[in-house]
Amino acid sequence: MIPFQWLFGGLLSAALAIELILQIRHQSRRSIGLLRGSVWATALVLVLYPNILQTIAVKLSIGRGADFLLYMLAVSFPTVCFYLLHSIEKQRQQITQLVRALAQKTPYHEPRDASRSDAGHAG
Amino acid sequence: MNTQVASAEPSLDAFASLFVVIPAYNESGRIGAVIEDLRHCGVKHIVVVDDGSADETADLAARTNVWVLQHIVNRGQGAALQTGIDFAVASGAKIILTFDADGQHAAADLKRMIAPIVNRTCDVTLGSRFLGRAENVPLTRRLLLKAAVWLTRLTSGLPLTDTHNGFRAMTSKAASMLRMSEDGMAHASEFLDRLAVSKLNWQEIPVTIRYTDGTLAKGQRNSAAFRILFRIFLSKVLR
Repeated sequence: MIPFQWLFGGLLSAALAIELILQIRHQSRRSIGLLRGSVWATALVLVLYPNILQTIAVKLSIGRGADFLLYMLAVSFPTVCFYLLHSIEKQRQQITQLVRALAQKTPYHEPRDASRSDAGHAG
Repeated sequence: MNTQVASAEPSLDAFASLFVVIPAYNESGRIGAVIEDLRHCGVKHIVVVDDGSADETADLAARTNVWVLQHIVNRGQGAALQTGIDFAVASGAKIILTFDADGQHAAADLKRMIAPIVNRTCDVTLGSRFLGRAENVPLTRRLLLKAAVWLTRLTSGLPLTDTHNGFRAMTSKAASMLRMSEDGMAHASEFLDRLAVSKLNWQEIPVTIRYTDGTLAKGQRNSAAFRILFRIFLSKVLR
């Protein structure tokens, strides 16, 4: 094994071990833990056995393992971007709903001569 | 429906059920005069939505004895408008009019804006500076607004002459149908998109827009048009 494999293999093994401990102690959601754990495990396998990527690339007629990785990133990057944008958008709407509810529940100032139902009766 | 000048004057009863919603952000220098003008026109119910201003906008509005709602953090003009509209609907409003806080709209146009709704000839009226008068509008802003008109015609199919005009009036039923989820300035396009699919009757009314040095200094920069375009794109992709 080359020094790179020792270094990153060690880091990824540690990340995997931490994930496992979190799961055992129920300190992380199972779905999140499974997703994160599978990312660490895949990265660990590819660091320790880099030829796997090359083999897959050849079987898919891509040629080089690095190109296969690039294509994978090209697909996953927009997917992750849209997922994040969607999450941000959802949070933005939730914050606005919260701010709106607070504003409507406790008006900063009420006019002295009118109640909220005045218009309904007058019209 | 399209462009026409409204006819008869609305009755006093119409004003009893009219709510004017004013979204305001750092407008301490102008909010008082705007409310005063509306009061002179006979408006009884005014809802100022202070959108997390850093100045005394909310306090100054409160001194004029109107409803003041306050966003604890700034959420944008679209969000503030929707807060005020929701509040007006819940308060029993039959007609809701939206009015800018920076004094660019003329309160004198209010009666013409609500007349077609009072007369039940339409559900929504939209102010148009290009049918009325646009004073002191810089050329670049005028071109951008014209571009926005063409874009709206393309996307919504509405044959409008002015698209980003905050002077609008609607029935409470229409307000409930045209709820906006865009917090920022893109709400104007979203409102028109919803109007196009709603099949509600609408009409454009000539109004006067008065740009002053203060309005231009604080108002949207021309570059904001790109941000609005991006928001429109995002809302269509993510929805």
